[in-house]
Amino acid sequence: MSDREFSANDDLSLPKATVQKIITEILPPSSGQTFSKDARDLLMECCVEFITLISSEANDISEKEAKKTIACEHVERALRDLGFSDYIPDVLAVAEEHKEQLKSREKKQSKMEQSGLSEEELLRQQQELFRSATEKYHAAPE
Amino acid sequence: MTDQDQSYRPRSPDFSTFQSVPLSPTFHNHNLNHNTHYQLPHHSPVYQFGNPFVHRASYDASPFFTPQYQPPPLPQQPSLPHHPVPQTRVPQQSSSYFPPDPDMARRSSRIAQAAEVAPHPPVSKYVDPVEEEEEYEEPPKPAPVPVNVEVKTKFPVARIKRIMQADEDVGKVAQVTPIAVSKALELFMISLVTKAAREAKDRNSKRVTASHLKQAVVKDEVLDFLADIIAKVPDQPASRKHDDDNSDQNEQQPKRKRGGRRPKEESD
Repeated sequence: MSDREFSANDDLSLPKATVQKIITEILPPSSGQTFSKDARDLLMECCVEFITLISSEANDISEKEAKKTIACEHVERALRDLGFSDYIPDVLAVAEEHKEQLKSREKKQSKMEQSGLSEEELLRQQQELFRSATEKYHAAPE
Repeated sequence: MTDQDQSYRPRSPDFSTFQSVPLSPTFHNHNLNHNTHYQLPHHSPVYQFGNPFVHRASYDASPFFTPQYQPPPLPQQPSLPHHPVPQTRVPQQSSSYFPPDPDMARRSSRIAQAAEVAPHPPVSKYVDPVEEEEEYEEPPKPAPVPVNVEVKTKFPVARIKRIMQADEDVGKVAQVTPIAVSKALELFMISLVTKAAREAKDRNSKRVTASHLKQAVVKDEVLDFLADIIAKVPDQPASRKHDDDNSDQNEQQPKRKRGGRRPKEESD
C-alpha cells in the first residue's frame, strides 16, 4: 500500500497506511467495530483541513506579533482560540520532550568535540575497553 | 536500540562493577544486554557470578525464590503473583548506572514513545528456564486504557510540515511546530474516530461509515470548519464508493428505520 496513489494531491494528504494504522489502534478488532474506507478517506480530508486550520490560525497569531516563524506558543494559542484547549497539555508535553531531546543532543555533540580526540582514537579506546571488559568477564566466574 | 548507538565515547566500562559491587544486579544485566557491542555468551547462566540477586531482581521472582531482602517465612506470598514488589526494574534505566543515553531517546521519537509505553523490553534472553514461568505473572505490557487511547503510530513530521506550508500565507515554521501540530492532529483524530464510532454504535452498526463520521461532525460546533468537507458526503452510506457496498448492506435496515431523522435535516 502506498500513499502515492493520489497523483497530484500526493504531498498534501496524509499517508493512508499510517492513518489506517492509527484508526486500528483507536478501534481495535476487539472493539467489534470496523472503519469503512469511505470513512477513512473522509477522516483524512478532515485531518488535512484540521492542519490547515491550525496552521493558518497560528500563522495569523504569529503575524500579529510580528514574528516570522510560527512557534509552539502560536499553535497553542490557535488551539485555544479554535476550541481545542483539551489538546494543549499533551501538545505542550510533546513539544517539551522534543526540546529536551534537542538539548541533550547538543550537549552530546559538544562532549565529543571537547574530548579533543580524533574519531579513530576514540574508537581505539573503546575497543580497548571492550577487550578488557571481556577479559574481566571471562575471568570473573567462580 | 543498541548497536547503532555509535557514540565514540567508551560507554560500557561499568563492566568492571561485575567484580566489585553487586549493588544493583538488574542493572548490570541491562548493561550487558544493551550496551555491549560484541557478542556475549549469553547462554551462560547468570549465577555464574555467584550473585544470587542477578536473576531475581529483574523478574520479581519472589514466589520461587526465598527473597533475601525480606524475611522469608511468609507462606502466602507465593500465591499472590501480582502483589506489588517494591523493587521495580523500570525507572532506574537511565539513571546513575551508566551515562544516561539521550542518543537512544532521540534516535527516533517513535522508539522513545514506545519505550514510554512499554518501558522495558523483555529480558528473556537472560532468563533461566526456571524463571520463564515468571513471564506469565507479569503483565506483558501496561494494558491500554480503552477510553484514553494511546496511539503509538506517529505521523511523518515532514509531511505535516508540508501540509502546513501548502498554505501560501504560512511562512517559516519552527522545528518543534510540526511536532506539536502532529500531536494535536493525533488527538483530533482520536476524537473524530471515537465520535464516529459512537454514532455507528447508536445505530447498531458495526461498521463505521462516512455518514457516521458526518453525523458526528455535525453535532459538534467546534467542528464547523469541516462543514464544506462533509457537505459532499451523502447521508446514506456507500453511494460514493462501491467497494463498501457489500458490508454496508447489513446496516442499511437499521439506518432506514431512523431515516426520518436525517442528519441533513439536523444540519440545516
